[in-house]
Amino acid sequence: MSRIAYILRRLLQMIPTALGVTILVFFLIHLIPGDPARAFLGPHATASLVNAFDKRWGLNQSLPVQYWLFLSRLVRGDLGTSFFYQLPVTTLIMQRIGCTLLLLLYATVFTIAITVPLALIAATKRDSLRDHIIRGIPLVGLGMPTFWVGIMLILTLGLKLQLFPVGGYGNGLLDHLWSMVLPGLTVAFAISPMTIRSLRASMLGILESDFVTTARSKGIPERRVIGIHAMRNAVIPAITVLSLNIGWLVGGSVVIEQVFALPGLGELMFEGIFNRDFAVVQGVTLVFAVLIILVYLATDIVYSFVDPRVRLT
Amino acid sequence: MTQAVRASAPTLGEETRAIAVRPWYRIPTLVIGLGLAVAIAGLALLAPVLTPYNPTMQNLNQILLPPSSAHLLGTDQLGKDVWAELLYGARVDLQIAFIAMLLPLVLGTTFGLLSGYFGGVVDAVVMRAVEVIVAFPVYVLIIAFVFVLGPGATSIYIAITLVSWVSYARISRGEMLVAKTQEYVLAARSAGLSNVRIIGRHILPNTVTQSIVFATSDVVLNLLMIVTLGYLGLGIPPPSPDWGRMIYQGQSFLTTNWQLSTIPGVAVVIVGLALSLIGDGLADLLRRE
Amino acid sequence: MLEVQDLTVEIRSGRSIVRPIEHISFALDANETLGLVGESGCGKSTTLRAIIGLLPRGGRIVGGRILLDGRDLVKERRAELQRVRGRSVAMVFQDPMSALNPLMRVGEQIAEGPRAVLGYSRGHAREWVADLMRRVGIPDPERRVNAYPYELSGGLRQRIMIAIALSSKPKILLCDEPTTGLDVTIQDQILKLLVKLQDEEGLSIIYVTHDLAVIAQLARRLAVMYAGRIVEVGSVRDVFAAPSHPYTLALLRCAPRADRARTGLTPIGGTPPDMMAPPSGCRFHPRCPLAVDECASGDFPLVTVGSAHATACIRWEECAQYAHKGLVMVRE
Repeated sequence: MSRIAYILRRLLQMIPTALGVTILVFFLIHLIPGDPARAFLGPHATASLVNAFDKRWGLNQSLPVQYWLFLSRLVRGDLGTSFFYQLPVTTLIMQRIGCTLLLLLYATVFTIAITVPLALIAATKRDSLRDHIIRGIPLVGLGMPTFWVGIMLILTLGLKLQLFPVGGYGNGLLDHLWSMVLPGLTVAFAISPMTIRSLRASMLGILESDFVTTARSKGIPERRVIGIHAMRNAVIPAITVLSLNIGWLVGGSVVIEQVFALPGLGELMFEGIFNRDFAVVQGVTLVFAVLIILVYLATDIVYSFVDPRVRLT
Repeated sequence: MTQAVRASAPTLGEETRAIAVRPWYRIPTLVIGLGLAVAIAGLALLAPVLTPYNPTMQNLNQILLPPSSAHLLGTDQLGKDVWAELLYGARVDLQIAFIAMLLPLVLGTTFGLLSGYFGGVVDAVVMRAVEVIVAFPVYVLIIAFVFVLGPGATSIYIAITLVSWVSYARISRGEMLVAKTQEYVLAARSAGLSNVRIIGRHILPNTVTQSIVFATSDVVLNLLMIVTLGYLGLGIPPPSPDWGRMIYQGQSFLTTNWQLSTIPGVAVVIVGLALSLIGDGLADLLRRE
Repeated sequence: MLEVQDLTVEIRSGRSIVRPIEHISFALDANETLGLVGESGCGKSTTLRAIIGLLPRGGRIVGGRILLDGRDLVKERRAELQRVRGRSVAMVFQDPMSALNPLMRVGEQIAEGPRAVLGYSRGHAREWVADLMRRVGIPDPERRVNAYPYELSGGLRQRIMIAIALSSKPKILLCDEPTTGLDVTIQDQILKLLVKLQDEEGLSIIYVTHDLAVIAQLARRLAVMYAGRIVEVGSVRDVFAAPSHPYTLALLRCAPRADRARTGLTPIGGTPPDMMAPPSGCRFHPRCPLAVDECASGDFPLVTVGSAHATACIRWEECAQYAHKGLVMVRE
């Protein structure tokens, strides 16, 4: 029961931060030079057309009033309407969110699959050749632009080996699942250098800790010492690093969806910025911010399950 | 009579400093990193010497040529020499990446130190600002800023500064919170030294090391950001050469001239490697005893 | 039962090589408690770790033998050593908060050893754990068995550590300052518990501490260590009555004792030696009030001065006289 209360409380605390985000976004958007009316209608639009446009979208009112309208609509679950698509932003978001969430999922799974074994090998076989090679990965990997990694993957696995589609989302679930492999792998390659370095460092710390020595002193097999004692304690810092990077990923999806031509939230955001489509940018930013905060919240919840010391207050 | 063994509190001069454990030239990562960085800087600076071509010069008779003795790395889709673009692009991108690190370093560290030292309202304000910025996806924020401000170096500087200061603030705030409780600070305060003096003379030298080590990775992050913006069309506008744009333009020719997209990326990786090595080496060098 | 002969350990970290213990020799008989006494950093813990085969990273045994029932543990392979641990030799660590896995229930931590090493089934282990917990004096074991370490008090945690050590029925217990940092009353309880357990289980214990008062309560024999070497060894009664090494004497003078009128605490002058560059000759000579020129070089093996009483000091007779006269030695 207290766990549910904890979750609810955290969700409530999330609101002020999310609000702060909306304010920032709102005023930011309105700083964009250029008139959305003209951007949409073209530079040769007549004044009366522009006026009609402004009136229709409430752009002729003062900023605070516009913000108030925005908030009051938000409370009703209405994120405004896109100039460009002439559709409610909420609809656009619902169309796109599946793709982005799928990307997040693939990225998380691939990252874990790559990070855990490598970090484990590096930590347990410290200073061996394998360890040095694995330690070299962050040095090289941190400097790799994500989009470039994507292109390289397209080049090798997509074009040369013809294993995966080089872009697009396809039709139908199977297509979707298949076309997300390369993007997911790209993200995983981008994140893994950090997570490997992190997990290796925490594993090393744990392997030298007192309770591991105690465990060894009992004469239990080393397999169990590492598999149960060390791993269980390594999960916590690993989750931290993973969640921090997932936060990055939400924004990074903007770039990745460009590289792979995926119809996700990132791509929507990108278009929104280019088209000066206020409502879209506001809406998607809000959704991004909420997603990130939810990821952090999920992390805390996982902690509370794994670590008995976490107080649910 | 009893001779008590007195544990003496360190006086102002004895505070635990981050001291160099070994001389810098004995740390392999640092040496290799610096060597690589110097080589890269050399290549960039000597660009006019190393290539006869002008990176903005198009030659539509010579498009998409493979590497040859005339064109070391071939030409792109407008006939521009790739090696020249790479070298001159280095000048642009690397310079911006480096300079963009400086202001956040100064601002962020200052805010962080003040925030940690004074606590209270100052801390609350700074931390709220940090939280809001952190809740934003970095890429989106910067893309938005650059878009608002128009493409170009200045916008990139402003956008990066507005976002990057946060990391430095967190790092130095953390260091300050630890340093604040150290004996030498308590000694200084009880001696009546002014806050500015305490922070500036005594605490600052010990707490900046972490920020400086981070600065090396920050330059890499900046470079990645610049290159990404270039890819998205939001970077330094043409005709100025830019690695990101090179990769974007090369993507259309992956099947025939895959080196066009690959090479600039490799260049970024090498720069990243050099800076990471320096960062690791510095961290090693400045490790506290 | 356990005999350590001429044991030397080297620890390599980065560029530096340190020898925390050198040429250590002592013996442990069945059913007796041996105290290992000395300042922090003198190598007491390292000795225990060498015996159980859990030296820190970069550490290895470079000389000597550890004979357990005739078998030399130094020569054994890792797999063999693992079999020795828990079943024959067990260790109680100093800080139970860090020595227990914070994410595992204490019952599970106690049961782990016997299940893996003795092959106990889950049910059998459960009974065994409850039994152990009762024997180490943990009230209400059925409830406590599911607790996490952070939920228990310091004293209880240390009892859990002892239960863990005893769980696979070892013959030898190595205790590394298990009561340091605990409240004095709790300390007393734990010590009494150890005495009781030793009686009941027929254990042999090596007890490491810097506190002579504890040794007086617990041990029958003791070995005094300084800077990685054993400087005096003998029965507690003999050593306390006739300390034959200036360091031992100094320790005795420092230790507050209830049975003697205090002449004032006399700390030992000087600073503990730097183990990276220890003094030549007798390592105590820079701080020793009885030091003469010969002390600065050469070897100082243990010489017998009484029945099962040996010392490494060449001026042990003068030393014993000082002790006898109750004079206080202060180094100028």
